[in-house]
Amino acid sequence: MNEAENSKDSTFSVRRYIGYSVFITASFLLVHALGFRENTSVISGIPTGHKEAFLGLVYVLTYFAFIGLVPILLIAAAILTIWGKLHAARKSTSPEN
Amino acid sequence: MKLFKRPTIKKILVQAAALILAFFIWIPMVHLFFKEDISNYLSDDAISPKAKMLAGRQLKIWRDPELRKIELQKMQNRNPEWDFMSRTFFVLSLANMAIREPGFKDEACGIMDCIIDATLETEKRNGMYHFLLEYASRSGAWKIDPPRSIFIDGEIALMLGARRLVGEKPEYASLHRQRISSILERMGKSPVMCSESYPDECWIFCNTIALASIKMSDVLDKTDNSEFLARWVDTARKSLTDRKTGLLISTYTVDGSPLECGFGPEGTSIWLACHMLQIIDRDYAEDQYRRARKELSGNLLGFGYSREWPVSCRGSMDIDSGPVVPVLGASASASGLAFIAASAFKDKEYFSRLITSLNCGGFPLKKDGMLYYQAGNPVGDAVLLYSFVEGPLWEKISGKGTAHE
Repeated sequence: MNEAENSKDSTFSVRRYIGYSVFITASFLLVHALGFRENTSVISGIPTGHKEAFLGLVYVLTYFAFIGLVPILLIAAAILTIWGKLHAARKSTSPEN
Repeated sequence: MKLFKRPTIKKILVQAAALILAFFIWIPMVHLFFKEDISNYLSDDAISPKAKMLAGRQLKIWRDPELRKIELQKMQNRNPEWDFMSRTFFVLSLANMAIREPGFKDEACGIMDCIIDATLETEKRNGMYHFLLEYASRSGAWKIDPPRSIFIDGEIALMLGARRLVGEKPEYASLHRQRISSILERMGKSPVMCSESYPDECWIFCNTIALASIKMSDVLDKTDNSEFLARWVDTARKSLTDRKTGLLISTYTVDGSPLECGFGPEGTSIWLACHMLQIIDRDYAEDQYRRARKELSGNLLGFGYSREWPVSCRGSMDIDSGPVVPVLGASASASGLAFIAASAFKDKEYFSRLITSLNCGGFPLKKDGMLYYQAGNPVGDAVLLYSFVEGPLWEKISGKGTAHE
């Protein structure tokens, strides 16, 4: 793989990670705005209707994805961007070039 | 082929390394986003802002007869013990709030009276089984005659005592004395000085609450049961203590044989027991707290929790423990009660970590100036409120203590 392809791959991953982050964040903000948080009592075992239990579980999953996955994806995107730039800079200053 | 494969593996490795590195950067930092100054929750002399917000919902229920009827029925349908215990912890909270803010005393006494009267009236109308789990009426014979539950007697006596300590009410004084007399008589009939919560099933949780109510009565009525209380502590050291951990066991028969459902120490019992024992024997209570802290408290990357069982003494999940997180052994119910002990023993470090977990996994919801924890239940909110305001009532009892101290 040449330098241009490597850089392209790195950019592709960064975009993909940011895309996932935006998707999770948008999903979380949507379920939060729709008031799904009020149904999270399902996780303490309080009996609720099937619909409320479903909405509560959707909220819990998007919430933990938002606080757990989004920052990891964004930090990974930042690391890949830095790595890509350092790699490109090293290649351009290499004696072989 | 080699030329094609090598860069692909390299790309995967770089991406995996980036994700792993990001994971190790982020995960140890997550708790910082949920950590909060505990002065929002605990205050030395006033009612903390969060306590006021958390009390809002409960006050609304007890101020509005229609809403009260609906909410109590809901709780009764979910779990009759929750219905009963949420009353006890709310009365204890109101007593502490009234002492903290004398301007709130009249209203607090009014609501305490309303809760106590409603509870006594329900007990009179439907009997003690109204507040007990269904198995109470079909799990064999009560060993001590006549059948009575110390779960009910102890907590009613505690509510009456708390109300009287805020402001004496003659109608309650005689009711309180009658309950205490019955409690003392029944506990005295057991070789381990414990009475039944359910048929031939004694709980350390209920019996230590009963001890605290006896102590309250000593302070209020100038009686002296200090010898009984000291004897109880000696008996508990000898007969109700787990040898490996030195902690009080949870459940046992009237003769002191450990029962399968709580043969060892449990987070859902011991944290409250430590707090109740503070006014019975402070050194013993502190020793139990230190041991419970060592055996049951956990800290995962800044998030505090309580295990339901010590590592050396695992039990099985039941309605009290609730779901237990595999590997960690963390239990939401035990962690809720750990708030009471951490606050009572002024363990700010543990309390702060528990708050961090509560903010992350309790799903706090602020609405109309009130605070709810969506992932909890009504007893959970009452227990948390009590942990935020407790202190003055126990200080009042200790300050007016009898010869036992």
